[in-house]
Amino acid sequence: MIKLLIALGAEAKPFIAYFKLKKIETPTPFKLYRNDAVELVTSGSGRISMAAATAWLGGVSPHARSIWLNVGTAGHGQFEVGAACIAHKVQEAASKRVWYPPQVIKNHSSLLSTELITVDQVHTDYENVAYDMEASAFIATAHRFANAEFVQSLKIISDTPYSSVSLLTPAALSSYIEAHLMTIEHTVNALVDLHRKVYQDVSSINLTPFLNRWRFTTSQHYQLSETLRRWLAVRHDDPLDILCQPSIKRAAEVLQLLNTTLKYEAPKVTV
Amino acid sequence: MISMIYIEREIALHPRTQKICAQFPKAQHVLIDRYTEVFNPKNQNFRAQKENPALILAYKHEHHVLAVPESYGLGASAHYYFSHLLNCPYDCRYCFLQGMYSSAHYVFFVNLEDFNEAIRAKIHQAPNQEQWFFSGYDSDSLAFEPVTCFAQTCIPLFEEYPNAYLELRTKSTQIRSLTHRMPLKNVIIAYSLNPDAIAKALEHKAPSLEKRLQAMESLQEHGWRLGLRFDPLIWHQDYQHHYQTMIEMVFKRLRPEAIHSVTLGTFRLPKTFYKNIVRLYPKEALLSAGLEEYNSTITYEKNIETQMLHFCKQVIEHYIAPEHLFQYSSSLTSLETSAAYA
Repeated sequence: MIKLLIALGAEAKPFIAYFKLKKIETPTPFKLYRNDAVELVTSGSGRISMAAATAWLGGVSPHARSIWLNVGTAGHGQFEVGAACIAHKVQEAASKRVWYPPQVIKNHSSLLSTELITVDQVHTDYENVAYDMEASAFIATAHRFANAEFVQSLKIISDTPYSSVSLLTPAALSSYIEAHLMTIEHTVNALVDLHRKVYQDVSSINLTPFLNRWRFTTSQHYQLSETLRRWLAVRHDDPLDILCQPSIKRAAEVLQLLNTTLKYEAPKVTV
Repeated sequence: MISMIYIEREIALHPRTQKICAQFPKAQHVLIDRYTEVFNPKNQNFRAQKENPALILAYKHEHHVLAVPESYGLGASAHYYFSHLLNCPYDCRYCFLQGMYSSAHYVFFVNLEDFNEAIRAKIHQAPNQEQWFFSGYDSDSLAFEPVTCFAQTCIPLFEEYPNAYLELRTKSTQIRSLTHRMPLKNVIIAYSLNPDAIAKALEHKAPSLEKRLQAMESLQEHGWRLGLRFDPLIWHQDYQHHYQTMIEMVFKRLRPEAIHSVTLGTFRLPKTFYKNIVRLYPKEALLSAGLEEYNSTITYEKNIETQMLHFCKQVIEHYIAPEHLFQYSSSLTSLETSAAYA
């Protein structure tokens, strides 16, 4: 699942149209839009709002592994208005905390890379970095739900020393984002591909048939899970097949039989 | 290709930093205070980072040279290891680095001269005794040689101290810095070797067995002494056939006088590292079979380990004298050998 955290409705609007997201009509603390693959939440501006919205989405939609993206507009001291960039460093001005989102994908050619400083007030004393008001809170919170590689912040530059933030309109914010939907989608797809590759082998093992039939202690439950992992890695048959003997009555016997069978099962080399 | 270089501010102007940055003209540079800010955070995914690792250029402040754990002693009076580089461009499924670190980024400590000084200081503590210095514990010793020039910088130190030995542990074919200089008797180029089938299945991105053998042949032609490291031995169907074939091939192509030593050891990992690796690769059959816990180490069940070591030892002893063969066993507290290592 791709989770998009966006501060303003004007910034979210192009995504809602592009991904054909449906608004969830039941009352929620934050506006939530979704389709089968994407969930989008608008947080409102500022760190507290973003942290709350990110935590809320993580809690209400706890997909074990998701890609978390904060997309929005930002100021920059050197990039031009309309430039798209991914944050390779996020610094929180108030606390001086720093994060380095790992740059694990090959960026789209039109995606620049930048340091991003999250400030609490509109910042017009531009240096050669980007400025926003939410990214640090998003990163800090989303790291509770996903590996750092899959928590990224993308910004479209909306104001610079030569283009005042005070002139920005909702329509302008929407148009800046809209111009880079393809770039952002490219980044999302690259992260999805990597995510699939990294987690392709990680699937939860169905313990239910075992737990229904035998009583496992907490410790045995863990042992069963690890034994079945090894079983499925080494053999390709159903472990329940060898457990059909009626004489097996206790969980300890189940574990013993599985482990004894596995013990001298030399694996084949497959390339 | 490196696309991101994190650089500690302290060494941003170091000549080696500037030389390395020039080798990757398209890479993004990010200044950092300490490499640990990028390398140490816990919620990173090693497997994801392995797809596109960054290079971190850092300064090593202390602990340049460390004592080798007692169980890895080799019979000399002192054994040390040092790590100028953390992580490796190869992606071996059994490698403990992926269980030890949360990041797959490469950390290179540019102050190589400080490593040399620390080695020199250790040698001076006991100048008449045999001392060993191992490189290649936290990385492949040669794989990044064109970038780091590590061997080129470190080896000349050992010209001055014939009692001090350097082992460069590697799977690499980056041997130009060795073949372009005079060999030293007290520098051993030790190759990790596994049968081709295992190399293909587990040693991703590493040179093939054939490429390693070609590199070793070239090194022996240039007069370098070689170490053969059949470690880790991996238990699998047909392991006897695979290991016998490989060992015979290796000894057919290398001259006995070029071989300094041979070591044998089966797959073994500290339990915590093993658990981390299994979390990354839960379906890896070769890391899932025949294993048990022994003193907080995951290793092969005793019978399997004994059989594998015994079998390989028998094959190897056709080619070299027993005093050149050393083996690691989980039940031994030190390297089992009848002779000193050198």
